[in-house]
Amino acid sequence: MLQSTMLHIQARQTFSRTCNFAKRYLATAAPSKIHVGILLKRNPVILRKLTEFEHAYYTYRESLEQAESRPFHREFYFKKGSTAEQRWLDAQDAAAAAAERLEGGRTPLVQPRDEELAGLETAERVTEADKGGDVKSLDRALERTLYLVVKKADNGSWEFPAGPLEGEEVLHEGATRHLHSEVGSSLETWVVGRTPVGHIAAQDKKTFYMKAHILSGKIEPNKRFAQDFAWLTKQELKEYLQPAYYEQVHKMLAEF
Amino acid sequence: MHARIATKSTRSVSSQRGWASHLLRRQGTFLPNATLATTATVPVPSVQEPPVFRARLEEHYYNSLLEDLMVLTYDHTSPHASLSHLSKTRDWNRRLPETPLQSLFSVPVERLPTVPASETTTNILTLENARVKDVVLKRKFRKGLFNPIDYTTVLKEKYDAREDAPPPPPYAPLPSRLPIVSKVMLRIWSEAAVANKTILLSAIMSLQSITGVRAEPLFATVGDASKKIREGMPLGARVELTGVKMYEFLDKMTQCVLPRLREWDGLNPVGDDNGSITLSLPSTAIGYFPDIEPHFDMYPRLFDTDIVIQTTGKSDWETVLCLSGFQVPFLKERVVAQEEEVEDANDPWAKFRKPKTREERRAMAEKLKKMHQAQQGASKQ
Repeated sequence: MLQSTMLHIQARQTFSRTCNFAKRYLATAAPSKIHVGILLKRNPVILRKLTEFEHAYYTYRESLEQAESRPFHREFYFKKGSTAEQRWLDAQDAAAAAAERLEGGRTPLVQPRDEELAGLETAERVTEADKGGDVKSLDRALERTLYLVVKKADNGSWEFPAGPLEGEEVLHEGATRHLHSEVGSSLETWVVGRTPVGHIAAQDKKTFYMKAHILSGKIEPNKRFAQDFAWLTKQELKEYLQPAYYEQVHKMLAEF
Repeated sequence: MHARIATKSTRSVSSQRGWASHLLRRQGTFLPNATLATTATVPVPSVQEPPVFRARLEEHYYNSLLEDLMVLTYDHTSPHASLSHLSKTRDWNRRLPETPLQSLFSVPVERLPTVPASETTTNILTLENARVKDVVLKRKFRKGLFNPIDYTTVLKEKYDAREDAPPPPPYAPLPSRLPIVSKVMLRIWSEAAVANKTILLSAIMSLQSITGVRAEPLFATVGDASKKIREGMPLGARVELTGVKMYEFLDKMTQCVLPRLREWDGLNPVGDDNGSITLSLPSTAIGYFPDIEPHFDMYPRLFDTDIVIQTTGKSDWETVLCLSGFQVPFLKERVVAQEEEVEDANDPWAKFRKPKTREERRAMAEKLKKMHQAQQGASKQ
């Protein structure tokens, strides 16, 4: 009984000592402000161009498949004497004249040209924005990921949009709110989850970066925060961002 | 050397093959996947055959979706999420070997196949015959295990009870742990083929058209005299898709077919909690596939198709998350069969009621477990 009372008193003393210690420690360290940064990205729009080796490999595989495939049963897919059958046969005859013979004397099958699709033109992989180097356009570098950077109003350096959290809001709420205030409220974005993808700890503040996708809208930079903006790939960001800043953020960015 | 004894099971297997042998594809020479030395630990499920083209969904997954999945599934409390643990994993320290092509294509002589794999083989020593075949075993103890010592029977629930599945591995932000679609299986089962088995040709053709892969016929494993079904009768067809063909099929389904389904708002986000989720397309929906629509009249009959999408997700939530990234629509809320509210302890008929749904069976199994534990506790005291 005496032993348990002694232990209890010891525990209480230890607890109060640690409390005082904690109070003294915390009193000297100033609470750091939490800022939220936004990594707004536009995903690739088109597939990347195949390398020479890949192109050769797929061409080779396709020719093998054509050569080894089972014969095409025309009578199953087309009714005898129908216009669809005639169209298909004309397309094969036209292709046979131009194409080279495969093993077994078969020519590769072709699809007849569709009238609906005849009027369509495929868009260019290299757009006007690419040729003009218009970094404000989202139509540039269609096969790459583009990130939004803004030129800060106070020191003119290029950085990702960032700002302090207000009130009791959490990171993903603060990200949307700050993004709208910095680059315009007509944006439609999707913040990926509630977990930040990276952080930068400075002396007075910690900035946690939230990843977001742009769905639609126009960037209208708010003069209070940002003088200018640009949509850049990871390689271009290396030239625009400060080297120290780039070192801290480049691992958050997708390679392609 | 063991001669193959002609048993009843082997006879039925060969007769099945005889019926469908003209539909089975002649297999060319190939190296089994297991013999290729791979260094990659990025989720790359075994491929059906080398790709002929590049799948856009696959590129989308590796370029954009994988990152988002990592962020959305991140769990900082997981012991495997810390940097100190990650830096010791194999994924983190992945390095290409000094001669990558050599190690990729070199196969030890012991592991080379002795002859090219072929179904028309008479040599019983070939790899083809050495492989364990998937034989459907007959269910022997249908009426419960009979204990001859004291003439008691074991309840079916207790006899069929299995150990609980191990808990899923803890979260780690590594590509090998994140969910990816691994397989898609399509299945048609039609008891109308009892009367006329040639209608199955239409089933097999439709599966082949929409997938680009030869379908295999499915045979009845149990007979039912009232429906005139005999064991071994061909009544369905199935096809398994992996790799590029799987992504193409998913692409066609999400872009062409699912948007045109009537009175359908999305998949039920309930799977088997281990990465699989099922979807049943009505026969009208099969006609929306771009491979079938132009030649719709050439298919005498289209069938309701069950589609099972298998992912490497470790729970329903991960599966749904992964598939949402491929634009598969889901319902906002899970639709689960409601348990009957008759949980009366004094109900004399309770023990005779058979559990119908998976939830009821689970509840029954848990109740039995608790009773058993209570009994054990009572006997110990």
